[in-house]
Amino acid sequence: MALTPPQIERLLSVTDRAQLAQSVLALPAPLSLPDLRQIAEHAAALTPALQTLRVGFVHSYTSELLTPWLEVAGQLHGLQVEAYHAPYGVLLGEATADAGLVAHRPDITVLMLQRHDLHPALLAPIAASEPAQTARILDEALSQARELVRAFRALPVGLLVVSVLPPQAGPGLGLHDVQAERSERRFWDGFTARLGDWLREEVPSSLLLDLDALVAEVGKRRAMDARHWLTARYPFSAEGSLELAMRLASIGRVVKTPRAKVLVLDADNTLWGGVVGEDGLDGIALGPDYPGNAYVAFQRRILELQQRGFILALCSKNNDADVIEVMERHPHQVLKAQHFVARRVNWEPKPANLASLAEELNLGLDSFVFVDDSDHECAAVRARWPQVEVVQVPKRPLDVPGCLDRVARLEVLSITAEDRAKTAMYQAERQRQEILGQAGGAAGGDGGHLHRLGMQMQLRLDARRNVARLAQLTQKTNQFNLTTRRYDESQVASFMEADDWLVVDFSLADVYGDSGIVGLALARVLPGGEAELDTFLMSCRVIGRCAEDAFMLGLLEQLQARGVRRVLARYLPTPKNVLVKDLLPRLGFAPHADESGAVFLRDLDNNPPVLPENFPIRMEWATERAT
Amino acid sequence: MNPFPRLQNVIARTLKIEPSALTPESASDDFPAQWDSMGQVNLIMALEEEYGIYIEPDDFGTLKSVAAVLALLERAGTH
Repeated sequence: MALTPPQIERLLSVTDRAQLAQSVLALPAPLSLPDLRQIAEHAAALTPALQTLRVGFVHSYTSELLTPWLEVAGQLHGLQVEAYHAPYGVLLGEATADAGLVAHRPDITVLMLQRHDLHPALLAPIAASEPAQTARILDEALSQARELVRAFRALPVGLLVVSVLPPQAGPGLGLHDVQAERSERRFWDGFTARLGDWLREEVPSSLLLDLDALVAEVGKRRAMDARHWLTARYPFSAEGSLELAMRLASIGRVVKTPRAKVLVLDADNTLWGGVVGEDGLDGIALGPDYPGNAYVAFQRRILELQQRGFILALCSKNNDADVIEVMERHPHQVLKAQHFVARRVNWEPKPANLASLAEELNLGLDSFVFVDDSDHECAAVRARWPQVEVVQVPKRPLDVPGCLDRVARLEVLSITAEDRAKTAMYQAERQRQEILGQAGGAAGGDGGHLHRLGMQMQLRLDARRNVARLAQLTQKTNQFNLTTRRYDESQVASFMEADDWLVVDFSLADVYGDSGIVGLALARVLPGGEAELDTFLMSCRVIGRCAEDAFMLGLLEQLQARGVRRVLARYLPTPKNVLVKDLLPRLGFAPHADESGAVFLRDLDNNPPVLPENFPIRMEWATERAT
Repeated sequence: MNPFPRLQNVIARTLKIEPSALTPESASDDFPAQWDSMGQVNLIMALEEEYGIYIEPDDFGTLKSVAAVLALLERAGTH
C-alpha cells in the first residue's frame, strides 16, 4: 500500500527516532519499500548517529532479498546494517575460521534453515513414516541442528540466531492433522521445543527465532508468497520481509544498546481510562467491558514484561491517596502496590521525578522506558532526557494493550533467575535500607549494624551455568566496575575453559533475601607467580555492605592457592565508574612503582589475605566447582 | 497525466538508482548492479504495493524496462 503524501509528510516531521519507528509500526497497512526507504532515510539523519550492526546470513534459500528490508528496519532502530550473505546453500562449509562469515565480524549470525536441511527424510510426508521411525527422524534432525549450531558457535560470529522456515503449505493432513497420530504439526512443535531447551541450556549467545510464530502473527497467506518462492527461492512477501527484518533489527538493538531495566508508567489514561482524581474510583474505565477491558489487558501485559526482568515504577500526576485507593480497592485493578519498586505520585515535573527515580534505584536513565499518554509529558521527557526511551500510549483504548509489544528494547534474549526475582530483590532492598537507616548513618561506620543483616556470601569458581548472568553483568555494570570490559556469553565461557583464567562470582544472602549473582571477578594467572585482575565488578545493589572486601579476599585466597604472590590490577576511568576510583588502595593494593598511575599491585607475601576480626559477612565456596 | 514521474520515483527508490539516471527508455541492462534478478523481485513487490496490482509470475521476466512496466500499468488500468 502506498502512503498518501500527507501521511508521508506527517512521518517526515517526526524528529524522535523511536517515535518514528512506533508511528510506522502503528500504520494499518504494510508499507512499500520505496515509501519505507524515504522514511528510513529521514530516520537515519536523526540523532543520535546510527550504530553499525553487522549481520551474517547462512542460508539454504535466498536471503539476499532481505537486505533492503533489513536496511530500512535498521535505520528505524538506529542501526546501520552491514549484511553479509554466505554462498547460497553452503551451510557447514561456512563454519570455518577462514570463511567470509568470520571475516565479516558479525554482531549477529542468522542461520536460515529449511526443514529438510535437517534430515533428508523430511522431504517426504511425516505421515508416511511409522511412529517409531518418526521418533528416530526427530532425534536425527535434532542432532543435525545441534551439529550446525555447535560448528558456528565455536567461531566468533556474534549472537547466533537459529531459524527453521515453515513451509508454504499448511500441515500435511489438513484439518485432521493436529489430532492425527502422525501429525506434522506435532512433530515440528516437538522439534522446536527440544531445540529451544537445548539452546537455552547449552549454547551461550543463541536465540531460536520462531518463524512459525512470525508467520502466524502476520498470517501465512500474507507473510509468504508462493510466486517468489517458486521463481526465486525467496519465501516471503513484502509484508513478511518487513516483519522479519523488524524482528532482526529488534534483536540488533538489544545487542547494541544498553539494557533497558525499568518501565516507568503513568496512571491516568495509561493503566486505566479517564482521570481518577476527577472521575473517581467508580468512574474510571477498568473492568470487563470495553474500553475498561483494554486497560485490564494492558496491565496483564505489563506483568508479563515484569517476568522478562523489567522492574516497574509509577510516575503520575495525582494525589497519592487516589492512586492507592485504585490499587487497593478497585476490583479490576491488576497491578498492586507490591508490583512497583518505586513510586512518584505527585505534582512535580516528570523529568525531575525520573531523575529522582534513577537516583533511588541506582540505575542510569538510559535504562528507563517511560510510558505515558500525554503529548506534553512525552515531549518534556524526550527534550530533557534523550537517553530515556519514551513510549506514548495510544489514544484509542483498542490500541493500548499492544502498545509495548514492538518496543525493541523490551525484548530480552535470555532470562535469568535474577531477572525473574528482581522485583522481590528491590523490595527487600527497601526494607534493608530502612533497617540500616534506623541503625544510624551509612554503612561502613563501625560495621555493627551490618551484623544485623546476617549476611552470607556464596562464592563460585567457573560456574558454567551462570554464564548468561555473568556476561550480562559485564554488559550492564557501569558504576562499580574497575575496568568496564564487556564480554559476551561465549567469551565468558571460554575464560572458564581456560586453565590460566579464574572466573569467580558471588551472591549475597541476608535476613531479607538473596541478592542473586551480583559480583564477578576475572583474573589471569601469569608465569612467575603473578596474576592480573582483568575485571572486578559488583552490582550497585550490594554496595555499602563490605561485600567487595569479602569478594576480594575470596579471590586472593584462590590466587594464592595457585601459587600467585603478586596481583596486578588496573583502574580504567570512565564517565560512570568514579565510585571505584579509590577502591584498589582501600583493598590493600599499592600504586605500582614501575608503571603510570593506572596500575596497582598487591604483594601477597607481605600483605596476605586475612579475614578481619568481627567481619559482618560469612563466606563459603559453593561445592559444585567447575561444573 | 504522465505516468512516468511516479514510476521513476518508485524504481529509483526501490533499486537505489539516481532518479535523473532513469528515462522512459531505460532498461534493466542499463543498471546491471542495481536492477539485477534480486532487484527485479524487490521491484515487483514495490509495484504491487504502490499501484495496488497483482503481477502474474509469467510477467516477472518481461518487466525489464521502464516501457514494459508502463505497458503493464496501462493494461492494469492504473498509473
